[in-house]
Amino acid sequence: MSKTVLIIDDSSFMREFIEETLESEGWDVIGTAADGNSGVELALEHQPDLITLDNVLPDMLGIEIAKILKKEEGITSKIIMISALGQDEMIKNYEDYGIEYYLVKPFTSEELIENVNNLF
Amino acid sequence: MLLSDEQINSAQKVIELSLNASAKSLSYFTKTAVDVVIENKLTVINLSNVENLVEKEVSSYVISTELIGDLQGISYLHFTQNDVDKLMDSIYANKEFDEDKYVKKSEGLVKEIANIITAAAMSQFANHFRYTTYGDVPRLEIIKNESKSYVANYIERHNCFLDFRATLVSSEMNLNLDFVWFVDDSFVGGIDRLNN
Repeated sequence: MSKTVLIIDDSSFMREFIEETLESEGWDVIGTAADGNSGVELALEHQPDLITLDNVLPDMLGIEIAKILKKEEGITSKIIMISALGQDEMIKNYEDYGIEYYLVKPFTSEELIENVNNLF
Repeated sequence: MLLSDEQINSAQKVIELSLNASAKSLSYFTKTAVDVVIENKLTVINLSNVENLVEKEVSSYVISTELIGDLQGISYLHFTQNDVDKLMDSIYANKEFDEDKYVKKSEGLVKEIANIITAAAMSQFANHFRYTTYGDVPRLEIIKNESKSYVANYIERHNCFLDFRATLVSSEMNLNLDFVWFVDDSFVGGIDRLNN
């Protein structure tokens, strides 16, 4: 059975890029969300194996979403934070929010696959 | 506000490093080398004449990003239709889209490029200044000559009196993106933290 992934990103370009990359590796994309609230709803409903999570969304920050999902709701999905922000302080603290990996954009499809595979 | 020579020297070094990080990020999309041509390393601007500082060209895309957090200001990237077409060719080689889809894809692509290359510079500033800084969701504006731009309004409202700008150039692709920043006195605060 395919592993499932939810993509939360306000960028249509990134949603499409991640979706195509992971589908080509056999992942089942169970949903995509362009904002935090829809992302949280989909994550709680489907509890996917993996969530790719943008850090800056129109309605909330990715770290807030991770905190809700992992710390408050206790879901077990693995989360990769995908962000263009590569600040040392943020990268250093991602585990505090229940995030398994912090991937700084830009990256190639091969880099995305490698980092996802490292989590499973 | 007058800046000391020490502040200006430090600022210019960080600006150069930061814009080079942006160029490196852009090269992921162009798949070519990207150079930074710095036109203005740091200038104190006259806020009463701000409309003339914001480049205006009909039918071009301007993607602005407001800085949130410890560093306050706004940056924008200026794409001509030629720049957009070249980037679309680079990313979607051999794919064909109808006109509506092409416009939608172009807008998604330039917003994401702006997001990534702005954040690359922002991350450098944050690391050097020991700041926490975010960029808001990028805002796309097609600049019209008859109206005052969103960027010009922002600069006035937020007293962003420092300006630096460069062109990110891929000679191989004949791509020239103007990359312009306006920041407020939080930038000077960052420079002072760097020097102390």
